[in-house]
Amino acid sequence: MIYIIIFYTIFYVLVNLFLGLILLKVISAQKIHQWPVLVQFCSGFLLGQGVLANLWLLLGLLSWFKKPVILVIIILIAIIGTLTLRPFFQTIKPEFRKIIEAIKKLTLIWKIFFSLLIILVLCFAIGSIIKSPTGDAEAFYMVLPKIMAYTGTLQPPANYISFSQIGLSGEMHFAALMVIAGPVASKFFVWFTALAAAVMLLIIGRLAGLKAKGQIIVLILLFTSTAFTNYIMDGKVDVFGAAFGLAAYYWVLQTKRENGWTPLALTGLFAGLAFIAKFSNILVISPGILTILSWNIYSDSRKIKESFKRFVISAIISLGIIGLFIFISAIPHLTKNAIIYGEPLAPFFFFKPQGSSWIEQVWYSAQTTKFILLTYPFALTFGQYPMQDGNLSVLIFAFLPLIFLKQNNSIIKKQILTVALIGLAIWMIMRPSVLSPRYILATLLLFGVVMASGFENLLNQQKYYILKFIGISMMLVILLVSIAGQWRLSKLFVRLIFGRIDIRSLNTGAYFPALDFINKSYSPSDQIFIAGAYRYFLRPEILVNIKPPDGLTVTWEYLYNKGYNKIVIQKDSSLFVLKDLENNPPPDWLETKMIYDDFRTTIFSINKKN
Amino acid sequence: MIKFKEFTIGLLIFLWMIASFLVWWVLSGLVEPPSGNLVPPKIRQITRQAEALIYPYVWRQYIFTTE
Repeated sequence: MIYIIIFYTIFYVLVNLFLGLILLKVISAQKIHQWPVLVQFCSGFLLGQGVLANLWLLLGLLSWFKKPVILVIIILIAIIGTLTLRPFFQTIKPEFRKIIEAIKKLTLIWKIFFSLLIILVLCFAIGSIIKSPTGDAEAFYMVLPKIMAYTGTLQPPANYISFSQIGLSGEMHFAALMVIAGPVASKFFVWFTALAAAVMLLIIGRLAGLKAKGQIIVLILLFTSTAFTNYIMDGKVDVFGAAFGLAAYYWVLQTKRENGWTPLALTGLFAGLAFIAKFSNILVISPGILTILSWNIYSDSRKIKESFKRFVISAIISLGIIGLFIFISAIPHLTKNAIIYGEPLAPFFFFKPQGSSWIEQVWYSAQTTKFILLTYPFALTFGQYPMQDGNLSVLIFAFLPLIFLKQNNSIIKKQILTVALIGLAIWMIMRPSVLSPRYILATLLLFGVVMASGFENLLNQQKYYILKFIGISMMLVILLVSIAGQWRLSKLFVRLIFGRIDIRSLNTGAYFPALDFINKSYSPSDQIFIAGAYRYFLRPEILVNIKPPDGLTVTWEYLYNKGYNKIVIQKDSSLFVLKDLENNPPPDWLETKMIYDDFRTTIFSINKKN
Repeated sequence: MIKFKEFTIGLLIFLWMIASFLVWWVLSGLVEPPSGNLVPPKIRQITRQAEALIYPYVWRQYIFTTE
């Protein structure tokens, strides 16, 4: 079974790649070959992803998201891609040969680093297959796709009506893969997106002047950042926003006059996809794009001594092209919100007065927020705040002072550092209490390029031998520790490959036993009330039938009058409901019975006494 | 002959890097990471025995009672 899942996922990845490459050819008017193969490869994959997600979204709105339709579309793309993209695939072989040659030239220690990096990345692949969806994925990110895969229609989960106004990029791929290969394939797909994000970061690093060692360092910094790696395995969608964001940064760095309008169009498309995939990207990536774009246009103008007026005209035209493509990539999302909510610009702007925006979030008190602001960048690397869920690699923090050592700073490196600093500063000002690297991951990862460059520069100097030793030792220890953290999964994977365990027995979380109890005892006449957000493990037909209560105060009588006969209370988040019910005994005519109880969940049945 | 400026810069960076690493390592024993980041508990259990020989008593007590 696991082989089939892996096969289907790889096939689906190839379909995304084919679609993206075809579109790249169209957008660049057949001139895409002027960029490196890796750029074409990753941009193609990500562009295909963005377009396909939007296509699934529209199909979901039309209630046509059915297995035959999905299969016809992906098989058609696969056939067209195979027929038209043969010349592209012939260019891959020399590129891989070049990479292998570069690896062969490395010294032993860097070969060891490269091997450990590969092992770590493979561990994350295994984790994405084996680990069960957790946290927010159990609550929303994999629940919406599960409902969509079952019904063929895009409909928000009952307890996340407003929240479903967010962009749904990763979720659409999850839904498609759930239809054709099951939920494990959905999570595995995130790993491929993470690889694309890693390669985009590496290519940005190459632009900034990173050589072979620097490229290995930047990947080590990335894959030891739990703010990135946690989301490869848990079923959330933050990696999608990061990958699109990095692609937008790459293409805006390429917006030079000699490159034509292709980089402008691709910047717009990827920026739009990044904004939709993660709204927080709007705040931090837009200023970065504006900065680099103006910088590049100004440099071009100075080179040929153009007038200020010409500079302004060029800037307006370039911005117009980027804006147009951002709008194009956002059309399906706007359509979704217009159809479901009657508010295309939700949650930012509402045409109806009763619309409520949930994006103005404050996570902590003023005092804690002040402390967080005072402890940047420490908080990003070592912070353990609730909802932070992951840090930047400690190596990024440790290599920070190396950027002050004397080195050759290319314009691109300066641009990268500038936009990373601007993005971070804007985030700190606009959302001071939201400390969570995943919200602005693409921008934060740019610091990795700068720090990797700093350490590579140190390695090339004929002094500071102790520092080199310390840096290399730290990388080695942190890589080994990261691999050790995932090692248990590898052992499970070996058992899985040899058929000693079933994948279904692994994909179970802490809430699974209680929800499975509901699955087994469910009858169509049941009305289930769930106090708590984590519902992923319910059968899809039960998920569809759950109705939320319309009041905040919950009593036994109220629940019975609303027609509920099974009450599920998830104690982590809704212990107060249990206390309320215990403190307000049921009326004499109502019989309540605890039918299930474990560490996380209590389930009651309620019936009228005969 | 070692240049003073170069030595000072090198020393400061050295201290920064070592401190970063130690904070990362020690924090893994002090806080319960919500997402399994920092150093895995099994490795910390092994190294804690060695660390116990080095840490002063008060630190050790603090680390052992909060871990």
